[in-house]
Amino acid sequence: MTTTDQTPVASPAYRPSGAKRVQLWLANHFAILSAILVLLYLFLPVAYTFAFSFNDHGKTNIVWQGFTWKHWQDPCRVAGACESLVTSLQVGAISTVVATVLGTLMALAMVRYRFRGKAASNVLIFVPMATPEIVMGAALLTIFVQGFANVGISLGFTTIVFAHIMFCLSFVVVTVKARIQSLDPRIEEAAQDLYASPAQTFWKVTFPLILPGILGAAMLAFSLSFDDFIITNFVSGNESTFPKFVYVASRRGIPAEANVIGFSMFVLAVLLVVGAQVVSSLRASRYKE
Amino acid sequence: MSSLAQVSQVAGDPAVHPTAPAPETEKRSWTAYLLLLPGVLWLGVFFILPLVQLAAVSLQSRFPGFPGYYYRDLNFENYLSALTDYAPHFARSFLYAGLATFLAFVVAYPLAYAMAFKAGRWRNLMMICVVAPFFTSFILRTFAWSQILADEGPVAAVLNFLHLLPGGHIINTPVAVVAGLTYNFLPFMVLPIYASLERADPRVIEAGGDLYANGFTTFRTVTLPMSMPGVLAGTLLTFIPAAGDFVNMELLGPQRGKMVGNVINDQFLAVPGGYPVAAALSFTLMAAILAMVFLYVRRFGTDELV
Amino acid sequence: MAGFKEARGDLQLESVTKTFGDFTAVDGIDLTVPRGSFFALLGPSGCGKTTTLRMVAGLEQPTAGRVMIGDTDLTGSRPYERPVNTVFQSYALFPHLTIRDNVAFGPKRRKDKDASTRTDDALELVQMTQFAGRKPHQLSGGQQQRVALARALVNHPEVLLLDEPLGALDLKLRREMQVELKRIQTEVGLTFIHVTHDQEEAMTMADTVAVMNKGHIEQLGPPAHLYDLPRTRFVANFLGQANTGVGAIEGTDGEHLVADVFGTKVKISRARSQVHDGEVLFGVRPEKVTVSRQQPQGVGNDVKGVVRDVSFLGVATSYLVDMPSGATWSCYEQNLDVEPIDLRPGDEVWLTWNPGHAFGVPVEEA
Ligand SMILES: Nc1ncnc2c1ncn2[C@@H]1O[C@H](COP(=O)(O)OP(=O)(O)OP(=O)(O)O)[C@@H](O)[C@H]1O
Ligand SMILES: [Mg+2]
Repeated sequence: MTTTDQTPVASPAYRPSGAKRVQLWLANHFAILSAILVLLYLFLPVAYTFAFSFNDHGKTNIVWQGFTWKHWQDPCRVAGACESLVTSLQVGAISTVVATVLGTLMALAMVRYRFRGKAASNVLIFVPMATPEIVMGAALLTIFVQGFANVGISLGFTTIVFAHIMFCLSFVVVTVKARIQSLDPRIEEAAQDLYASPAQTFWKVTFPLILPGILGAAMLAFSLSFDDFIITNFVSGNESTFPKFVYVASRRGIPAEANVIGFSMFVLAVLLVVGAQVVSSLRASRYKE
Repeated sequence: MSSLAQVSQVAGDPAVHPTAPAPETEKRSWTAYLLLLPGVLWLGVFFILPLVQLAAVSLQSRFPGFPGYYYRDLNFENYLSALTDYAPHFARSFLYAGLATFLAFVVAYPLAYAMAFKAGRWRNLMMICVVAPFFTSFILRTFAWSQILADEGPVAAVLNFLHLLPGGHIINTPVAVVAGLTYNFLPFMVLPIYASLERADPRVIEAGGDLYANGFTTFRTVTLPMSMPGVLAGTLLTFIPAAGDFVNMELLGPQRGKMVGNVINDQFLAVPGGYPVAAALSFTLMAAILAMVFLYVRRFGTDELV
Repeated sequence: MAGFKEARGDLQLESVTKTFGDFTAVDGIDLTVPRGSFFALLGPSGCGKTTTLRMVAGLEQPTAGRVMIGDTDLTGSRPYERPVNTVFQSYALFPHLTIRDNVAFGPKRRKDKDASTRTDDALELVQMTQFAGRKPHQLSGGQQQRVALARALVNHPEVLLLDEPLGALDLKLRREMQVELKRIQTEVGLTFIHVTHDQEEAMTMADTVAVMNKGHIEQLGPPAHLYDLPRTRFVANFLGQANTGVGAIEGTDGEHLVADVFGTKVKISRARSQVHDGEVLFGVRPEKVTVSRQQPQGVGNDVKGVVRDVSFLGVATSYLVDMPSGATWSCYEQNLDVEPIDLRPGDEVWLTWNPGHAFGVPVEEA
């Protein structure tokens, strides 16, 4: 190496003052620092929930009274806690499947076809997303009580599922639609050009390519359904979902078992998503060898 | 809101064509109707029909002397009552929701920005962190806030120690309600902004940096406009549920000075004979929100909403 | 394979038209491509080349006209029913399938018993065997293009459509692939229709070249004919360079027409002019023009001009010469002389050419 790119030793390197350096560092890392702060903020109540799942509380789980494992040993001890969780999971599963199937079909129609009434369909899909839950809940309650009760459907599990499918549907359509729209249409044409019938083109090419969008939509639908309280509260009758159980309990004090369940669901969700990510990145790296 | 949808797409997916000029193949349209039919029927039966029923209820009149009984009518007084008696509730709903939306935007933007441009391989993990709190249940988290913000809790203690809390309380004040709304709908703000930033070409931003040198000017003239579709979707997805919410008010707010969501909820589920007014309130709320959304999208939006 | 049409023979387009709304992208094309020939389609961007190919592939249905292979009318049939395959302008590889599965896609759909060996052969042919297990996004642009080629070739279609298949390759690979393509085409005897922007590519590879403009075919023929004797102003200017000037035909001189261009009388062989009276666009190719310092004796066809620019290209020297009419001509002189003439910008020169090389086309574009 010759002398070409040596820093001149004689002239002292520019050194900003200490305060200036701190300021520069902050400016460079502003986004990352604030992101970390925001994430901490997002996790704060989760951390609180976790901590108070160990509280050896008496009647109400509000003041810290000492450490115990007992809530973790038997979270189903409290009447209704696990039953409502199971209901929530069932409602979530059924609504997710139905909403994802119906929504995917609608998304396909909206992107791939031209037909009369398309603009109206667009509005019909958009308006539920722009309607506050309380309005939907109230409307559903009136129809369930004044209309559906006459045909033998009373408030309960069924009506919760009906309602959840409805409000998940639009979100599914929008998510899947975006995925289909971003597909290169030439890829499907290539399949047809290579002797694939319309059905084969769909199952061999289109479907695998929009599957990530469909799975994303399903995840979104499940989280919306699992966490819904307002609409469920209107249409559930005597049935209880986990959010409703917590809400009702909050009037007399939420038992620590609810914290256990809530926190476990959070961990489960994180593990599932992280697991899926790891599997897919492992698969991707296999080809690189 | 399509930028929310983009979130579910894996970054750099080769199947995704950024400018895909999808030529709508003119296939026979009855297939389209077949595909649409189940979903449209569902929305018709469980969205449109209930709204029609609610509209009918909102025009009913009470049987004098029989609380809880109504007859079919065209009684627009329910709307008058909704607009006059409950005007302050509407005002509070929109004010708190507006404040929460603004705060959520301020908080969400740096996070979305960092996820899109600074996170590198931590990106997906950060995304999980944004979505995961959903699964601890909205009510549990709000309840946790009510404890964190309680008078004995750490936040009030610190603020009181610094003499920054004039009233001495946070819990049971509108401040707590706005804080709760901001917190609860934050992911709905972060994800669409992230999606639109992620789609933006970082080279364009670098070019902006070349042209302006000043970081803030680059942000204001290049980055922010590029993320506008995401900001638009995010503000809608935050404002709409926040304006109709009653749980935050219930768990964090004061006894008096409720929001319109609380009124609707109470009138429906607690007050006998409250149905018609509650229905009128619901419709007014929905109409107001749709009108705002319409104007807002007209002012800032793109043509395609969904 | 329900509906699959085992058509064999020449590809024929009969007054094929395609309109999008009120825009006519392809305007009544009549065309016969003999079976087993290499046909190149040239034309400016947006002239309708891709649209024409898409109608042959069945990805687009003509608004009017018929598409036939041999005696089989393919109009109205679906892409998967036609013995036609396409190499797409944007490759359009299946991103979720490996290279091998991409290539095997067609044979598998046709339930080909030898699908596996044919796939291997096709991969071998484009030298992609070592990448068979990868996904398309793990390949370079050129490699993807070769896979697209293999994916179409493996099916041995009656007609292979290539929409700028070599566009993304570097010059060396491109030349290699041109040779390879030509070899494959001769070997398997398929009909190739090749869209390209590279004139040289079209000229070297194709048996027949068609120049398209604004949705119709301007001229069609063997490459040398098109270059030597363009029949329209568009073709004259689009294929190679041409020195042109507008003039009026004043009379005849034996087998030649005499026209007044730039105040000079020029001769055009009667057989080489598309117009025989009135206005004519006279043209001559740069390499057919001779530059000299003195007025040559007794040749006719000479014009005096002023040298504007000289560039030495090694095998040849290129001159730009300002003509009295205001036009600028270019001329190539092979560097054959022992003592080349030393011209500098500003020098006055005489340009001459053999009237047998000149051509005349209509002034107005059709
Ligand atoms: N689906 C369509 N709808 C409307 N216009 C179209 C459509 N497809 C093509 N066109 C128009 O038809 C004309 C011909 O397009 P085409 O793709 O055939 O051009 P091309 O000759 O292949 O050009 P290039 O060399 O740039 O690929 C263009 O002006 C194009 O804008
Ligand atoms: Mg083209």
